[in-house]
Amino acid sequence: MNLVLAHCGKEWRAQRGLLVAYSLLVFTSLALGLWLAPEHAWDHEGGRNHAWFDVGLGTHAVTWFFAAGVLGVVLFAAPNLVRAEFGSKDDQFVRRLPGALGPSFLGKLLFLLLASAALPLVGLLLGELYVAGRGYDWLGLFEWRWDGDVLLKWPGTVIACGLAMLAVPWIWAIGSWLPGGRMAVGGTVLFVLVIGVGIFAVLRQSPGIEQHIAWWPWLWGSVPLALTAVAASWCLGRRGGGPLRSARLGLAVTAFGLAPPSVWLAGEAWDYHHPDLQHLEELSVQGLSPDGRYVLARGATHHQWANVSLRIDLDTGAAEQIAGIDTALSPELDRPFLGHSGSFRFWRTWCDHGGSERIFDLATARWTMAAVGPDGQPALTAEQRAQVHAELRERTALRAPFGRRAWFEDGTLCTEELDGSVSKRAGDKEWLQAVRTAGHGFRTFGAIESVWDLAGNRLLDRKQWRVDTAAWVVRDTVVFVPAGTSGSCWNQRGVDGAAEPCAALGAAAVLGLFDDDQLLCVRSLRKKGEPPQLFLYRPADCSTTALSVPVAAVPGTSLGVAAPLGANGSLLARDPSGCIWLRSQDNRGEVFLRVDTATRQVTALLPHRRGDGSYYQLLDWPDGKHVLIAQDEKILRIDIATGERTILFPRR
Amino acid sequence: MNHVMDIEGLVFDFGWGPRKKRVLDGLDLKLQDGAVTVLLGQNGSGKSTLLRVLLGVLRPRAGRVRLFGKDPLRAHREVLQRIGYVPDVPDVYPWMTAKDLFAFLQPHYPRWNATLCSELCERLAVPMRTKFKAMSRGQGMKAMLTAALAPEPELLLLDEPFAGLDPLVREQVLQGVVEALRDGERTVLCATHELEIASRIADRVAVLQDGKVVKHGSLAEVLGEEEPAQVPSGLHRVLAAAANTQEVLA
Repeated sequence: MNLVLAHCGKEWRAQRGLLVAYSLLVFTSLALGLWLAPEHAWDHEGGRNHAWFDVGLGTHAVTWFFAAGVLGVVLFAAPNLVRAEFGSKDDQFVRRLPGALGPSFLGKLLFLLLASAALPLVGLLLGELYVAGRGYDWLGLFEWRWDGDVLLKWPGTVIACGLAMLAVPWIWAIGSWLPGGRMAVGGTVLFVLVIGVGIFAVLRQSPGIEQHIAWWPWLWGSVPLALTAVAASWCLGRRGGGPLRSARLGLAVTAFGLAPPSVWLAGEAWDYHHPDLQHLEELSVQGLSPDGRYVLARGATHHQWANVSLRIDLDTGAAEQIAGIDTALSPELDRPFLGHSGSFRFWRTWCDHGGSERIFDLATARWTMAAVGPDGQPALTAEQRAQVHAELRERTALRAPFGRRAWFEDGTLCTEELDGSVSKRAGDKEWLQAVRTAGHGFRTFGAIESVWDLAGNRLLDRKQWRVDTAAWVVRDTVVFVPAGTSGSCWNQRGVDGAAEPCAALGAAAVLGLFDDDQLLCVRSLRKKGEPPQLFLYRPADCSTTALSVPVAAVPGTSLGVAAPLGANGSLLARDPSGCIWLRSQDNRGEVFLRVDTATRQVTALLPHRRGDGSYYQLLDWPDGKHVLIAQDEKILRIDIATGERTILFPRR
Repeated sequence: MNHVMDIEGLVFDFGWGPRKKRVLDGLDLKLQDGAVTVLLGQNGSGKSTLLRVLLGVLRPRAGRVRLFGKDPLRAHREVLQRIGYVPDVPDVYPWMTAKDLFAFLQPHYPRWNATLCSELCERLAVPMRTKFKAMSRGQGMKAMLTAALAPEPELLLLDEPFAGLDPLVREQVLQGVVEALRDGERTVLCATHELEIASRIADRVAVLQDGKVVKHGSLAEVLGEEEPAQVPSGLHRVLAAAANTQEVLA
């Protein structure tokens, strides 16, 4: 102990002149500078827009005085622990004293601890005295909450000081590695940058991973690691060696100490990009293979992490990762954009990094390369095109009246005629970029936003028809909300007739085509306890038919369509027994309503409280008795009659 | 029986790779206990390097170094507490005074003799309150000699302590050394290239050349070699001159 105190005292003797001179110079300059700063720069009252700083002078003065104290430790006290040993010729004096390296290390550590506490505290004290002397306060650093708690505001200066203090032991360590103990601060900055670049590279490649990392324990852990590195560098490295031997030993200790967090971070990054698919925290189903066996989904093991694409076999529960976080899959293959999800076999990639595209066969899990054409679409081979076009024909949800199918092929709109022949109409690339079904027609988006009428095979003139936010084509009649009016002000117009208001649709929302002649509509009364009104509207004679909603079972005041994967066609989607599914939900829970298209009876199904999990995502009706549901990170098969749930994924 | 100092096959390099320079190359040396051995060699022959290896300041590449039967690197405290060292120039902290230096050194040496320290300071006229950065080289060397002798070391290592001193101070320092040598069975190794020093204090002489001890014995034995070609020619002439000086002194 005597030796430790002797070395601590020696450090004080060696550095006191410099530290006292620094303190006098910096604190005096700070006081003078703050005194000369213009009064309007400080927002004393709060809410001044023209102030340079958002809090008052007192708060800033205290933090700056404190920071000046910290700076003295960082720039002088820590680097000089080694630098001062080279005051004469070299540092051999301390190295040849009998057994002095250990006590020297402890003495320097004691001095550093004292200096690290004393200099910032002296700064704080002088800051407070200065602020008090000028009649200001420093209440901006904290505020009293109504319940008596004190909320510290932690201005950026204080956080920077904290980080700088964490670097102090590293400055000492790196100073002992450099010749003459020179450039310790610069070396530390370089060292932190090297470590930081590695960490930044991991974070940059794994957005959101930092949300799951507890940084402070690692940052605090860097202090004992640095001190261990110093101890090795100084006590062992300097025994029979100079800075080079110290650097070897210190870096070895540092590498040994950094290995566990590095391995851990690398493991986290690996898990981020290769999640355990049976232990996902987040799952969103994107598509289903036409046979209903394979699911295309995106998932991650933590909510804040980016999702990867995976393919799930519902028969076995097995899942495989098929793409990384930067690759999204879309069914948009040789057809306009209809939505990100659906039941398709072929999917294309959307890579953030560009280049060639790949086509994924969800049924077989096979990837094929495809060059990118001039229009940005994958240039398909003849075989690929034939397969894709066959699927487009088979899986199309567009229908003209009388159940005639319509689909897109190579930018051409194909429509089945009543005699079975196919009429083709070359579409304009601009309006075929993205479409959304709207009864016996579809809305177009992009350069031309209007409605295509499948019955009349024509694009409605938007200005003439004033079609804007909502439009539905029912045979040769268009039911729409004219541009510039509210969402509930419905009009309808025949092919050549004039637009006329639909009073029966007042304050209602159209859900979709119930059949070739009627629209299924809902009207929310927006009153507590009042169920929504469900009815059919026939544009031909403007008549309505009310459907009875089971009042007690419906939690919400409104209804929406429940279609598998949210993909609706011209007609509302229906299950194998021909029923349309609706959904009513509020913040307490949800229920499905099944509308029998034959009897027009409405029955409530599968009531589900919110506390039992998030809202259901309807995936498929595999048969008339079951429904396939995604909920949270699970995929379920639910027996419609009994409500029995079978977890198809994950099967941990 | 352990010698105070026993060196076998000592190898030391400065630098590494193509710029590596071998300074000590298989050096063997055993000191006769209680004798004053002068290590003679030209500038750059590795005398100071050898002393620094003995002090545990430098780590040899190969070889065996034993001081009091122990490795100075492994038993650093135990060995160094029994050694006094005077460098070629004062290398203590420039802000220190001699008083600070002695106060700082005292807890490192259990056998520190404060009375002897005071006597030496008085005899050598060491300025106690002058910082080293303000001392002349001679004053600094006197303080270093005092610091080396105050712990009553069993082995005294001198690294050309008389070089560059003016004649008066040089005589004072030399006198201090000579008086210290009278004190019991102290073993001394003094590195120098000055034959006059060797002639005045040496019981034995070791000649260092090309990283090896090429001659080791009494001054007469070293000079009486039949084939002095192994001794550098210039050094041989100087040695001969020194022998004459010794005769004159005798």
